[in-house]
Amino acid sequence: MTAYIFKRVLAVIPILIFVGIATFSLVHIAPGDAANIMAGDYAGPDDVKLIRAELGLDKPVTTQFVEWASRTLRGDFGKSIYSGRTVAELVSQRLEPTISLTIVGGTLAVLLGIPLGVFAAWRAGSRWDRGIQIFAALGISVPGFWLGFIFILAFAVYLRWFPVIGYVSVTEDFTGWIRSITLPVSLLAISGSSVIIRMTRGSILEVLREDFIRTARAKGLANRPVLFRHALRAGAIPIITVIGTLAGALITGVVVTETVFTIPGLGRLIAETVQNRDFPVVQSMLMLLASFYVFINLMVDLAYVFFDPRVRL
Amino acid sequence: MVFRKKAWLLVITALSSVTMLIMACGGEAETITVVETVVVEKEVEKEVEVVKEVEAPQSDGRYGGELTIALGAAISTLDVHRTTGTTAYEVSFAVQERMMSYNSDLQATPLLVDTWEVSADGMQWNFTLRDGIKFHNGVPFNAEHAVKSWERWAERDNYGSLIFGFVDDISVTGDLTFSIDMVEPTALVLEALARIGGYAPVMMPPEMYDVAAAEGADVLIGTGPYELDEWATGDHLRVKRYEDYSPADSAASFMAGRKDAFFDTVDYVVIPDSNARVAALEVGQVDLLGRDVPADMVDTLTANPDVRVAVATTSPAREGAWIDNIEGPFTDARVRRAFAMAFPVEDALIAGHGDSRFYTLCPSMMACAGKWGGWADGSEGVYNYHDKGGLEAAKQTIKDLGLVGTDITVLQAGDRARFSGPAEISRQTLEKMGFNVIFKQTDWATQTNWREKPELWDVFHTAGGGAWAANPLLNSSLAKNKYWNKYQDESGAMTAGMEELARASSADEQLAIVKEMQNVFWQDVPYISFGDSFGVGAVRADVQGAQSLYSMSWNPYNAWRSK
Repeated sequence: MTAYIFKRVLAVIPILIFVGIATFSLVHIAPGDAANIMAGDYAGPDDVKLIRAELGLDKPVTTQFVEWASRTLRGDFGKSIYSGRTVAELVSQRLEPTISLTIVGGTLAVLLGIPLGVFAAWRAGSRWDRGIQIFAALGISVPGFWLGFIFILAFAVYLRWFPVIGYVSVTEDFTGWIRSITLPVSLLAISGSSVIIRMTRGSILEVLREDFIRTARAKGLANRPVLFRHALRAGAIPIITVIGTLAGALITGVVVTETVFTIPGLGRLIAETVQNRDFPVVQSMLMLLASFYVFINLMVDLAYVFFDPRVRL
Repeated sequence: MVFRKKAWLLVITALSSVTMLIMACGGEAETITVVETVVVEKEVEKEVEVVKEVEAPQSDGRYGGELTIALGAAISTLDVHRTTGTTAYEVSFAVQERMMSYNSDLQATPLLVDTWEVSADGMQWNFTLRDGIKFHNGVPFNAEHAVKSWERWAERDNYGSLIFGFVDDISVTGDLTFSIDMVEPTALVLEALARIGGYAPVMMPPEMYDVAAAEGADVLIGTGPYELDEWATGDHLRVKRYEDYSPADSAASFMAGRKDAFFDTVDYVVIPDSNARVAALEVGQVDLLGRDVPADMVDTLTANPDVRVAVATTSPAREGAWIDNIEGPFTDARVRRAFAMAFPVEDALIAGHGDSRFYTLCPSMMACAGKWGGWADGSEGVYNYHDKGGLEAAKQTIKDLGLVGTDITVLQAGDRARFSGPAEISRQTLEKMGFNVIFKQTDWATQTNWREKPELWDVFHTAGGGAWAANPLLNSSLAKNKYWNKYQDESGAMTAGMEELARASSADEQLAIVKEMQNVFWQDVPYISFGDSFGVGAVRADVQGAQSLYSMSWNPYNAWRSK
């Protein structure tokens, strides 16, 4: 197991090198640069040229890549072209809201998704099953930004239960924190749980047809132990995989959620920096996300061992 | 069994309700149920935003509280000598000051300057600064700061390079005095000290002006009524009252005169989405939307008694189609003029702004709401002439010049509704004229990059506001080779007009010159000017004294919340 983990961690290095080259190329292939946006609408060609030279954006792309790569290898992820703040500073400022949303949203998605998925499989073909499937289908297919605005309109503008915008730190005011994350977390939980419901239902349905389930029932076991002790554990592998993917998807999902609800997290940071072509921040954020995905995948692989003793790493 | 299920359902329902109630009743909800008598302004049609003199405070009742202003885009930099972007400008109004400032008659009047005099031959200007002014870092403001800040600004701004063409030398003659020796006289000196639009000629301490403007200072220090408290990049910027502020003695008037920081703090909050901005205003989470209230939201907001909508008819922008003057068919002035003749400007304004409350047809070169706009000289037979024979004449011109089927590239920035609609009108017009239109749909950031390369485009859409729209000397699209349209002014008439205007000494003389320049404009058509368009802002009804200053940036000072 230790050797396996060590190998997986080593494998991260070529992945990050590839991601680094790919993101650098993508960011520089995309038209538009920070000099134009920084200069503003009234600035002319001379202004833009001056700012571009000052920012080093007029250097050949290969030179820029070598400079960026050598800085990154030294652990210097650069600083924002606009604010002059280091990427580490920006990320630390924005981390808390995103962690709040993803942890609470992800947990709710799992707590909602697995029981509903199991229940739908158990009552397959019933009205309950159809209802849960409709919920899951809507949760997956309705665009997050649209549902977000509906939530704002209903619960923030008309009912005034929750704020329209903003985030309150959990350390500042607990009730305020709950109120500020309720709508965005609901959005994340609905879309996340929908994916889990579909995967759980499918997986459990398959397991319920297995011989060992029939044997368990023949032995007179009640529904609950059959479902949760035998069926769920046996069908856990695909569910864990989808939850792992979901953890990554939640991070990218917060780009939309944080923008709609004006929450100053990492998602909004990504959206802003891409829009403003703030290259150093975009590159570092993409590297960070790639590392996160790799880490989650590793965790998922390790979880297989726990749920399925046949798996040997 | 049935009973147990029902009981569980009841317990779950009760728990959910209690949880929702706790969430809903917590925090701010307890503090917003205040009934107040407010003045409801329901009329929005052609509501004219009257620039009123704001009186100096007579009592302390107006002090206190927080003003929250929503910004649509992040503040890109703290240094307004680095950007012409409007969000940085907006914050600068609260924190930094100019030596001279415009009053409600748009006259440049002293703000940080105490007195000034000009020699009889106009060759020397002497300025004395007000005593007792301190920067937010406690350093007393002096003549050296004034001169160095102004010189830093002039290196960046096109008005700066224009005025410095007239300047021989600037010398600091005392702690609070400096003089400007001229190469030749011009009436533009005071305007250059008060300049709004472009880069802002604000006063800075050495910590800011010692940093190259293109690099940008990472601090924000001024002499204004508010000082920087906190900047969370991309999220919000908060300023707080500067307790050592030294206000001017004169009565407050537009950007000039006395400024009082009634609010303890002013929070500029970035809300990227326009629907969220409007919703936040409706529920009172923000107090003011300076600009970009979507046209389809105006009626909803107007119906809300807690909100006052303001259409900024006194500070219009000029919308237009910018044409590539140095590559492709539009290098020929006859083709540019033909495009203008065929162009249905009102359709373009409707496509960009929704309805006629937010624009006026205006055939002049400069904004009709400004002092150098409002007449039709030179525009007859060109402006909004498409259905009076303009389109047919344009088609004939294209045919005569053998350009039928020639490729024309039109850029459309899809993320700016104000410009993407008119781009569609350009596409249709050019196709009707006989061109083969290549329509490139992209985003604003990409368009700003593509417009640098003349081979990538022939037409794009944008707008200019403030002094850019009102004063030809500050409109870089009219200057030879200055803006992205790269106007060439083959006859030299526009450049000559600019030089004459800069030297003109009386208002009548200036007016005659601008009218002549307008004839050249509609002959050469460096770009097609559609008309005046107005930003739409909205403010909570209990906020008093707030007014639009420039390009829908509002004053946070001299504004207070009625109790």
